[in-house]
Formats: sequence, C-alpha cells, structure tokens
Amino acid sequence: MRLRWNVIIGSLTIIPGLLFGGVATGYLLGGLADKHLFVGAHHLVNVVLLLLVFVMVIATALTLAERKWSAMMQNRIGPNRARLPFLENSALSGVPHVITDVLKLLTKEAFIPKDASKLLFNLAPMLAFAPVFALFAIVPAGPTVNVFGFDIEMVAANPDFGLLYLFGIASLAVYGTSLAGWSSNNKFALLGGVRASSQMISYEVALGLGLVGMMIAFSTVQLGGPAGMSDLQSHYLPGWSTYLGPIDVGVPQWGFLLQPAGFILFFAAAFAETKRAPFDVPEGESEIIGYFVEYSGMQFGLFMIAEFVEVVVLSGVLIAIFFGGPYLPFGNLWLKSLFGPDWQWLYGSILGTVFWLKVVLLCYLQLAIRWTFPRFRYDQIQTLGWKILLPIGLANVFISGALILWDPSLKALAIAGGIEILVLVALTLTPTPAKSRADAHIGHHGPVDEHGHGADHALPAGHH
Amino acid sequence: MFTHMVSPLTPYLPVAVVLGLAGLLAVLIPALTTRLGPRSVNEIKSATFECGSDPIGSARQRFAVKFYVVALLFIVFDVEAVFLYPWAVNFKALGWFGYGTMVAFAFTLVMGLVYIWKKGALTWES
Amino acid sequence: MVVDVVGFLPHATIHLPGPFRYLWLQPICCANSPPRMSPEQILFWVFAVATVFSALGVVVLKNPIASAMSLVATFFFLAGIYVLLWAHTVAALQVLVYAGAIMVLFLFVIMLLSINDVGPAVQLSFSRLLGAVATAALLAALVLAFRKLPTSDLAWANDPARLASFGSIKEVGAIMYTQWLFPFEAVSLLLLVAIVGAVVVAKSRI
Repeated sequence: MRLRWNVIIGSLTIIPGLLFGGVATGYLLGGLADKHLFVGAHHLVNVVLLLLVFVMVIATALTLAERKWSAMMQNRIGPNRARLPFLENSALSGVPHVITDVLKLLTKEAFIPKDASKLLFNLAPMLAFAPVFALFAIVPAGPTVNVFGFDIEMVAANPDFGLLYLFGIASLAVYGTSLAGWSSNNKFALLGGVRASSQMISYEVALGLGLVGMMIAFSTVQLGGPAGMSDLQSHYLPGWSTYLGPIDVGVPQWGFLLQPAGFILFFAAAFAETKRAPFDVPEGESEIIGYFVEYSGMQFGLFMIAEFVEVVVLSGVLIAIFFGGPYLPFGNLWLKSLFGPDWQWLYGSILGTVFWLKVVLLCYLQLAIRWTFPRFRYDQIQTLGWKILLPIGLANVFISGALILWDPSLKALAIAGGIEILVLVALTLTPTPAKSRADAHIGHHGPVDEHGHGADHALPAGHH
Repeated sequence: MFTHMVSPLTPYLPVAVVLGLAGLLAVLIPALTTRLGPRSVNEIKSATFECGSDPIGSARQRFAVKFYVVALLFIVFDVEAVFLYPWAVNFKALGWFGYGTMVAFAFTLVMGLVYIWKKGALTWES
Repeated sequence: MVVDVVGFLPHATIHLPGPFRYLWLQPICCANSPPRMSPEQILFWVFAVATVFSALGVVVLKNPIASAMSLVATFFFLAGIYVLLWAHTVAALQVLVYAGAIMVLFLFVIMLLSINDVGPAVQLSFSRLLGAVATAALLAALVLAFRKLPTSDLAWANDPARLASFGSIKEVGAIMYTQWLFPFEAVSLLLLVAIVGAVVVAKSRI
C-alpha cells in the first residue's frame, strides 16, 4: 500500500496542534477563573473543558474512526456518503458523517414498544449514559502548574476518595443495561440485559483488585493532586536516575512497570465493562442484537455514545494509573526548566498534549482489539472473570504487598514487574503448537486461521 | 484580600457540578429527539421486535438461578475489595501486622471461593 | 421551630468574592438575627427532603423495579448527607456497595421472580402487623437516640488540621485495621456464610 505522506504529516501536525490549543486554553481560562472568581474555580472550567469538550469530541470522532478503521481492516471503503467537496478521494472523506449521524439520530422517531413500562424505558438510556459521562471527572489530564499566580490542577474534581468515585459511579451503569433489557418487553432485550449486567458485575471485582497493587505502592487512591498516582509517576525509582547533559533520565515509576499483572487485570476487566468485542455477548449483533434492540433515535444514540465515552475514559484512567499520566518517561525536569515562571502554562500544555496523544493511542488500541479478536462464548467470559482474573488479582495483591513491605523503595516491585513483562513477551512470541491452538479456540467458528493466538494471549499487553 | 477557611466540602463542589451536568445531559439529549423527531403510532410499528414473527407469551420470563448466584458472589467479593482500599492506603503504616490481618481476612474468602468452585457454581456449561 | 440537626457539626463558613457569593455558598443570614443557615444546612435540607421523598417512592410506586430504582436514589441522597457529615469515605462506599452492588442483587431477584408490573394487593396479615410494630419501635428508638445528640459544637470543630483529615479514607483505614480489627475479621466469616448460603440455596439448580 502506498504511504500517503501528506495525510501522515498532516495528521501528525493537526491532531497535536488541536490538542495543544485546547489544553493551553484550559490552563489560561483556569488561571483567569481563579484570579477573577475564586480560588478553585478552575475546577469548574475543567469540568466544561475536559468532560464536555475533550471527552465528548474524541468520543464523537471515535464513532466515525471505529467504522472507518473496521472498514480498512476488512478491505472495505467504509462510510463515505457525506463527504466534503474538496476531500472526495482522500482518506478523510466521510468526516461529515460525525455530524450527519447525530442529525439523523436526532430527527428519528423515538418510539416505545407496546407493553413496555414507559418510565423505566425512558430512564434506561439516561442511566447508561450519565454515570459513564461523569467518570472522567477524577482523571488528571495535565500537570499542576502556576498560571497568573494560582496553582492550576488539570483535573475536574479531586475528592479524597479518588478511585472509589470511579468504582462507585461505574457500578451504576449496570442499571442502564438491566433496565433497558427488562423494560423493553422483548425476549432478546431481556436476554441481552441479563447477560450484560451479569458480565459487568462479574468483572467489577477484578476491576477493583487490579488497582489495589498500585494503591499499595503509592499509598493513595487519588489520581490527581501532588500525592496522586498521576504525579507520583513523574518521579524516578530512587537511585535509578542520572543526567545526560541537561536531560534527566532514569527508570520512571510508571504503573505499567511496577504492576504489569495489575494492568492486564484492570484492562481486561474494564474492557469487559465496556461490552465491546471480544466481550460483546450482550450485544452479539448476529444473535440477539442486545438490550437496546427496541430503542431508536437518540435514545439508542445515548447507549452508543456511552460506549465510546467509556473507551475514552478507560484510556484516560489507564494512562493516569499505568502510563505515567501526562508525563514523559524521561526529561520532565529538563522540560520544566526550559520555561520561566511566567511561561509554566506552556510546559503544562505540552504535557497535556502528551496526555491526550497517549489517550488517542490507547483508543486506537481498543479499536484494534475490537476488530481483531473473535467473540468469547458466555461461559468463557464467566470463567475468565471468576476463575482466572479473580485468583490472579488476589495473588497479585498479596505478592506485590510482600515485595513492597520488603523493599519500600519499590525497586523489588519494579524488578518483579520487569520479569513479568519478559515472561509475557516470551509467551506471546512463542509459536503455539497446532493442537493446543485448536483447543484454545473453541469459541471460534470454522477452521483456525493464521492469526489465531491462544486464549491466554487474548490479553493485549504482550502485543504492544 | 479575603479570609479563607476552606471547608472540607469545597472539593465536592465540582463533583456535584459533574454529577448534575451528567444528569442534565442525559435528560436533555433524549428530550431533544422526541421534540425533533416525527411521531406516529401504529399497531405494527409498536409491536415487539422479534425478527418478524409474532411474539409468544410475555417477554418477562424467569431466568436461570445462576445469574442470581453470580450477583450474590459479586456482592461478597465486592465487599472484600472495598475492605482492601482503606487497607491499601494505610498499607505501609500498618506493616507486616496489617499484612497478616488482611491475609487472614482474604484466606477465609478464598476458602469460600474454593468451596463454590468445587461445587460447580462457577461452571456454566450444563 | 426548626430542628437544628446539623447544628452540632462544625460550621465552616466559606467567604468567596464575586457573583458566586450571592448564589449559594455564602451563608444566608438575616440582618442581625442570630440563627444563621450555613450552606451545609441548606444542602442538608435538600438531601433530607429528597431522601424522604425517594424513600416514600419505594413504598408507593406500583412497579417493583421502579421501587428498586427509587431505593437507589435514596442511597444516593443518603450519600450526600454523609458528605455533609464529613464522612466522605462512607459516602463513597455507600454508593459503591449499596447502590452499585446490593441493589443490583435486588434488581436481579425482582427480575428472576418475574414479578408483574403491579405488585400483590395489600392485605392485612399477621406478618404485616408485626412489620408495623417493628417500624414503630424503630421510630421510637430513633427519636430517643435523637434527643441524646450533643447540641454544642464538637471540641475540634475549629481545628483545621483535624477537619481536613477527618473522615478521609486514610483515617478510616487507620482506625479500622487497628482499633476495630476484630469486627473487621468477623466480617469475613459473615461473607463466608453468605457464599455458602447462596450455593446451598441454589444448589439443586446449578
């Protein structure tokens, strides 16, 4: 395939440029709000900027990106009917679909099936969307920097209970699916709703357990703030850092290095919570359509947009906990020293852009996973949740705990993490014998093909 | 300039704003579609969608007791996870003694997990 | 007469410049009269009224699932009251455990039993009478406990350091795993009984 350099260079400048502009606006508006309203008002600016602008815009763009990406993977053209006049044959044709989709959904009739309970039927999409939307509030999307004399935190809210907010609010999304399934008065919908809620609650335990190792390592449940997980990851492991000229380098305390098992647990569990393939039994387009089969118009749109918002939020949370938040793996101190005290917002904006670029990359990874792996069977999903992730999660908590107590500087934990990563990479690179390949692929219809990895490798860490 | 006695409630103002905004959006978006979209009701359109066949019986069927067991197990292990969070925050201060108390707590529940595993409550093929 | 329920709580008055002052954060006080209503008190009344109404919804609503959702709302407003009581962690756990886990089980049970839209007709029976007596007894006990609440400010009400850490997850944990160690370990046995019970009850069907 011919590389389209103009597209590559264009997207490499336009996307970071837009992100940088957004983050810089956030810091400056936050500084102004603190100066002229009251100290702490920048959190309210962040609510609008991060949740309404960044998350919603990226989620809306993902609705198109997912279809375009799946089309490319399946050698189709993808959505291309609504196109801009001067982009007809470029890779970007189809961009107006982002708007036309919304318009179409808005102008469709939202009808309620016979014998459905009206109140609950209308309530379900709201309960599916609202909790997911509120999740991003505790994710810090940039460092705390001084603007106009006020410390601006790039996070919407930083309550003391941090991640408990995430778990608590995320657990409410179960009501959306189960109510949608029950209130529709449709057998497929009920089946989908029950499957969805059962799957979501089965993975919620692993979701929590996956993060306990990081909570122990950093002694906090907060993501934002000076003692939060995001900022702590900008430090190097004590003694394992040096300077290369002016640039500081070392082994950063990124969660991915300290807790690879926790990362895989959390990612797998959270992926199951989003109900996207390979965990899409509740929807199963070819079988039962899902809990939203009776929904139309923007009520269906709410279920759909909730899924994409979940993808963005999951990326943000993963980055804030496991991939260094907004920070670079090295050279953060050097970068900060480049800017004078009045220009710290530029430093913050650069790192904020880094954060959102990481988010976009992880969103891409999630799209790729969705279109690569075959759907799990329902018993496989339950087995993975209860018999594999739960015991691994418990073992991870106590093994990591012992390592941290033995060596509070976290170096022992980092060495163990490095070994875990090496083992995972080795397992992924080892070709699976043909026989066990077939065994591991019970859920796959038809003959096993070239890209068939074993079920144990269905977790993405080893691949990227 | 002015006195600050920051209330511990101040961090919860943005939380309240976020929750309020989420609720507002969730109400406004579907409200918009019912205003903008057409509205016509007829018997066939409002019938339950079952791939074109007429639905037989009520959709609100009873479903397998397994789902109920899963929900109960979820509560048990969720409560266990909830006890892990305050423990994790105080982990370094509590030291090996705290480690031991949590091992004892988790061991009891792991015994429960082994029991339901052996009983087959986690096996779905049947 | 207004019962000053949150009167024994530490009052933290927030002084804010700008238009926000007149919205809701500034304490409302009538020119010179002593009873001041802090924002906490206003919020308390909002949450209290909402709690009572959503709790009434649980009883009044005909559809059992709507009742369950009303109970979820009740837990939410209760969590708001916990925040006002400086019990932030308890508020988060309330949402996480009660609204997010226990009510899911309730919902599953209602759906599992396939109860119709309209619940059973209310009949007077012995168990209902017993329930009414128990409710009245609980109410009486609550009133008695209410009258014993301290009316003066707590001794540390104006200690900012204590206020900042009170109710935080760190403080809760520090107490729970040392001072309240035995009840904590006993909880594991309770949960074990729940696991065994679930399997025994459903065994023949699994």
